[in-house]
Amino acid sequence: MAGELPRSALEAAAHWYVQLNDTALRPAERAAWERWLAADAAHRQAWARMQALERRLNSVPGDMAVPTLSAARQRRRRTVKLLTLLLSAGSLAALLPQLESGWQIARADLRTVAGERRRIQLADGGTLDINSASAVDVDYRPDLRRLHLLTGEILVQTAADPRPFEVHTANGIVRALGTRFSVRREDGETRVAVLEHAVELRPWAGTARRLEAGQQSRFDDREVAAAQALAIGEGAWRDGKLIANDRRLDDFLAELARHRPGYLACAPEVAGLRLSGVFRLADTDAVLDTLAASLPIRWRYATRYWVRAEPI
Amino acid sequence: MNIAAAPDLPGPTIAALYRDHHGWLSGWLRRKLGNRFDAADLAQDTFLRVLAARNATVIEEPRKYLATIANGLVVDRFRRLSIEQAWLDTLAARPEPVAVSPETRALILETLVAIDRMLDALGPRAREIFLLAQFEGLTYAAIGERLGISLTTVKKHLARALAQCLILAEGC
Repeated sequence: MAGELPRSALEAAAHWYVQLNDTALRPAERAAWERWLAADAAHRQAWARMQALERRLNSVPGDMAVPTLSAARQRRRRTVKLLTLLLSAGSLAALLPQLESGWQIARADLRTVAGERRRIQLADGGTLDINSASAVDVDYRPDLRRLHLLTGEILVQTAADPRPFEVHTANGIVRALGTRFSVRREDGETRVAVLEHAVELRPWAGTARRLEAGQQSRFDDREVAAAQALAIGEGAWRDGKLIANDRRLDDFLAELARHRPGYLACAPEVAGLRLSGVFRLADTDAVLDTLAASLPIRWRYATRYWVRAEPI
Repeated sequence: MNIAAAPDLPGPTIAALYRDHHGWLSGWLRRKLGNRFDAADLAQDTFLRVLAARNATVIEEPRKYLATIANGLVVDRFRRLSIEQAWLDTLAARPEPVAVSPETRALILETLVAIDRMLDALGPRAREIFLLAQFEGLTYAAIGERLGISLTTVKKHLARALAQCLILAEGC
């Protein structure tokens, strides 16, 4: 805990370590490393951490490490496969609440941490965009294409294929009718936004409903809510952007918090402030700075991972 | 964990947090894990984390906060179990027995858990490069050749992996 080093120093230490271990190292690079080391006490501390890490990594026998790590990964993956299989068979309804728990999510085929977004090319040529802090299992078989959204949000661009395309969540099935759409798990519900063509929403214990392009809706295990018009900026995260149109601050921060590790919220006095704009998700610190510059708020930091907006 | 930092702690707040929510948290973990002993341990660990974070005075939604920390610990517990089991399987699969002292074994497992956690944050390419460089002892040039990528790319991925290790070690 004591003396947290800046991230940049740690990244530089790792960079230099890799450079120095290159068999083709040139003298000029070595000199540059020495200058970096001499420039700042934090650099020397970061370098010491790097050396400690090297010792630690070298203490693990390589011929044991690789098989252990890959077997552990496989083992975790098997567990989640089994669980999702049981769930899609609908046989073990009692397991549903557990699906929310972190450990299955940790075993998902594809997952992103807070602040990370990924784009995956699916085997059929479609595209899968995975939003921050999300987990998905991919299940493609000869007769079906199925994604399991365990947590978070995905945006799917399906490709033409005779097999049906479905996204399963704890609440039910979203079936694509040749299309582009996003699915999000939130507060025990599944939220769907259709950008092109149409999808069918089928709660596990309810009647299916069709949702057309330009519409969004949500459903729980039993019922699909009435369709609404798409919000402006829906799906913009796919391009690394967050778009706000006269949005409440508390609402905006809740959205931004998904792209940032730790706690981010605001005091009740400022919750109702409104803002509009296009923000870049790649640098959430910069977004916080922009907000403080344009709204009557200031940020209170307890640690890097605990940030709260307060009235000035 | 720095216990000497105790005088700085908002003692009454932590005590209140513990008094008001410990029972709830234990119940929550028990439902999640289905195991009373693990649940008690993890509830305890959760409060230790809160103590270490030293920000108990500013916790707005205590149960949400505690649940977030506890959930991280649950994930960690399962990661650890899977690594321990995989280690045993790997040992068992070896042609001749390997003698490792309990201390060394604990240290190695601890390191493997840390590496595994770090690998989760990396893409498959960076993961492979890290394993080849660190554990298969390949030179950067050999890795580049094997994967059909440039030397610069190999180094970039490797530096990212190591930085991730350092950052994670710093953060907990």
